[in-house]
Amino acid sequence: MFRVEEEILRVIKKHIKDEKTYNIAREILMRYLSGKDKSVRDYLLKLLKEVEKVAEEQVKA
Amino acid sequence: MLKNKLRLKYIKLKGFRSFKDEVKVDLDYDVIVFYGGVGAGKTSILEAIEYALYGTTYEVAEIKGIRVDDLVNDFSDELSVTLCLTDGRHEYLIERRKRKGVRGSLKIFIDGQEKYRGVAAESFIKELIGGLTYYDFSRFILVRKPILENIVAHRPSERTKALDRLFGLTILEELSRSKAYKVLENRLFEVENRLRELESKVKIAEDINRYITKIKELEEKIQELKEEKEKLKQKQKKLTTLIKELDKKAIELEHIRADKIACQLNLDELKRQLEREYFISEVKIQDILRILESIKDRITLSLAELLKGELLTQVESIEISEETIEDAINTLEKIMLDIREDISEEEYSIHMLERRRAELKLRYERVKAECEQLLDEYMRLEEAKREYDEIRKRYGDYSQITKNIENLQMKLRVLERRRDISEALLKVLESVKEELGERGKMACPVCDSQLSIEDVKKVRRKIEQIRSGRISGISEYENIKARLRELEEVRERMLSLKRRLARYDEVKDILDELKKEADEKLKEIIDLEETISNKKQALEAIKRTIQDVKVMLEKARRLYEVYSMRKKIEYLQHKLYELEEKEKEYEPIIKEKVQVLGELKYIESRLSSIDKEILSLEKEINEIRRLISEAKTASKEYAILKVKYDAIKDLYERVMQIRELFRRIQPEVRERLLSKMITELNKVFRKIYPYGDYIELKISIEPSGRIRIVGVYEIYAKRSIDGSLVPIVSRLSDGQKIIVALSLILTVSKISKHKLNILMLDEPAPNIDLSCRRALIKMLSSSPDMGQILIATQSEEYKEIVSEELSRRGLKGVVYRVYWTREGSKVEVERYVK
Repeated sequence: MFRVEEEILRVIKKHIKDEKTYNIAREILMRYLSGKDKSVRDYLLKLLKEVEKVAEEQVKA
Repeated sequence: MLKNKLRLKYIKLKGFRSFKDEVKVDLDYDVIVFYGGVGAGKTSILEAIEYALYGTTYEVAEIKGIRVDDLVNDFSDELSVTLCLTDGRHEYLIERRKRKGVRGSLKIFIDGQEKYRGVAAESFIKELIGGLTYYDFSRFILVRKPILENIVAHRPSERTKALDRLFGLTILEELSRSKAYKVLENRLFEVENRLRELESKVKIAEDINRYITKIKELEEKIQELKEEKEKLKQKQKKLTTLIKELDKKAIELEHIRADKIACQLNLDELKRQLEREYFISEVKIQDILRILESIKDRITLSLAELLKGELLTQVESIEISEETIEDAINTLEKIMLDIREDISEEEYSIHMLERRRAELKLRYERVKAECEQLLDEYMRLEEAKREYDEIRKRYGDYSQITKNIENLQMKLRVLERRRDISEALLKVLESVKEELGERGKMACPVCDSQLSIEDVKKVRRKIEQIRSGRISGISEYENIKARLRELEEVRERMLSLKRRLARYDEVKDILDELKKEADEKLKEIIDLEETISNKKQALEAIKRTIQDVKVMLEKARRLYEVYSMRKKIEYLQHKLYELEEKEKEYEPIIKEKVQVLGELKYIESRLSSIDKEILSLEKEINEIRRLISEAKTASKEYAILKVKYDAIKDLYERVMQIRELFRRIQPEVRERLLSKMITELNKVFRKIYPYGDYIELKISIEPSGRIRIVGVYEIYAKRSIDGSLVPIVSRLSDGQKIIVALSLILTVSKISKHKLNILMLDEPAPNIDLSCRRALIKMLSSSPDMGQILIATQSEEYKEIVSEELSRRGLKGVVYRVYWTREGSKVEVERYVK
């Protein structure tokens, strides 16, 4: 018994050693499966916000 | 039924697509065939199951412009779909409702109890069907005709696309082409641009001291300009005071000039007027005085009668001397006007007298006419009086005549009575005579004494006596009657005359009065005519005098005017000389004013330019300050943005790496999937393909044309005769190819993790022959782990095929006839198979 997304993730894992990048790839895949482009875009926007917030805090510190 | 796998029990649909009224379809069978014509609603039942599970359908999800609202029946406001499933332990009821334009609702009932709603219900369904996504459902649960055909399509690209879709690999292609990454790219681009904008401002911040020094320099310059402005303002104040004084003098000069011009004009006018009086060579004041004295005397003497007391006094009080000459002329002219008014009044009074005379004449004529009229009447009355007097003389007074008439009337009445008695007596005597003549005796009718024949003679005598007396009485009676008639006529005439003569005295009096009045009026008319004549003569004399005086007065006036003009010309010439002298005195002031004004103008222009300079410098300072402020803000923003940019770039690079990977790993994932499923595929194939000509399937990925990098799928079948692998697309029949395609779908469904053990085929292989259809049903019903199979078809042959194949294998089946009515689509059982 298998799921195609699990197979894809296994292959991705093989190619991406960096865990952070792998997590992003997994999230993109899962989000695309649940809601296509819109969900991926929302996720990327969320990531952007997080990244920018971290950068601001870094400068303030 | 496999353990934990779900099985459909029934579905209820209302207001969904072509189903208007509620329809319940029992689905608790191994094979369910929905048979009906085009548009009958077969596919709608399959889509209702899809909608119940996912809240959407293939059309809504894949085709632009179709919305969930379009699933609601055109003649209904709301759709409701209730799907009942069971896993052998519990019964699950999924109920979805959707009103047009309103968000839909979802409820889950477990064994008749409501358990979940909304988002929780969606999560529960996902869990219930073992994570089977809508994407999976459309790949291998609800199989539409094009999916089957494309899997075994002749064109490699179509086939590859269909197989990738079946295997769920199109996701990799879609992810590598997704536009979602644009958000990162856009943001990166935005930040990059902003950084570039900020860079120039940041440079200002680095060189801030230079700008501060420049501000100081500019402020010093402003201070210098302000000091200069203050000095200029003080000078401007002084000059303004001076110019005000000069203005006053200039106004005075203007007045002098105006006076001069007016004086000159007067002089010119007087000279022109004097030129017109060229014939008056020399004027002596004594001559004018003499004329005026003469006028005064003439008025006093000649018009004394006409002038009223007051006016005469006025004339007498006029003083005639050199000093009062103008007043005297004016007064005399005024008096002349008054005299003219008096003359007018006199003329009016004459006119009124003439009018009075005319009126009197008119009245006199009228009185005269009335007199003549009354005189006629009076003459007639005189005649009547004479007649009246004669009647009286002859018959006496009216009362006496009346008395005589009464006496005669009495006499007539006595005679009439006597005549009546004689008549009666005569009748009695005649009857006595007759009776006595007949009988010889009788009783007297008067005294009742006995009369005899001897008494007849006496009676005859008596009768004779009475008859002779009667004749003399008649004659007397006639005479009296004639006399009475005469007297009555006289009396009547007398009465008539008396009545007429009642006006006699009145007419006589009126006539006397009129005659008297006529005499008076005549006398008055004669007097008036005399008065009018006298007045007219006097008025003519006055008019002649006035005319003479007027001529004299005009002459005096003219002489005086010439005299005055000459005097005035002398005065004006002197004044003009004085004004010219004054003007010469004022000329330097004008020059000074022009000079001061020029100076003031320069100060004003300088002040204005200083203000502009100050404004411009202040603006420059503000601009520099703004730049410094912006630079400071920009420096802060730049520092933050720079770190952000690095972070975003890092994220972007990672995501781009992932994106690239999605595209790159496709062949590897394909290989993995194929290796995992090939054994299972051959098991399924051998189970559902009972013939011996092909015993095994093989799928390989081969490079082809434009898509050489990722390659195309090629499906081979192993021929049992020679053991060689032949490409199915070119060697196998359509029916065989459909079986291969179904084998692939069943394999994917079988090896995928989910709990929905059903297969729904919408118009499977419509172009294949009867034997292929039979093979298809045989294949589907031959697999013990196939679960439920739902087929929507237009072909009637399936009815028979399903009956034969199911009864042979001891499976439960049903054939539903789906048809369209005006009240919406309906479903009824055509045949049960046990």
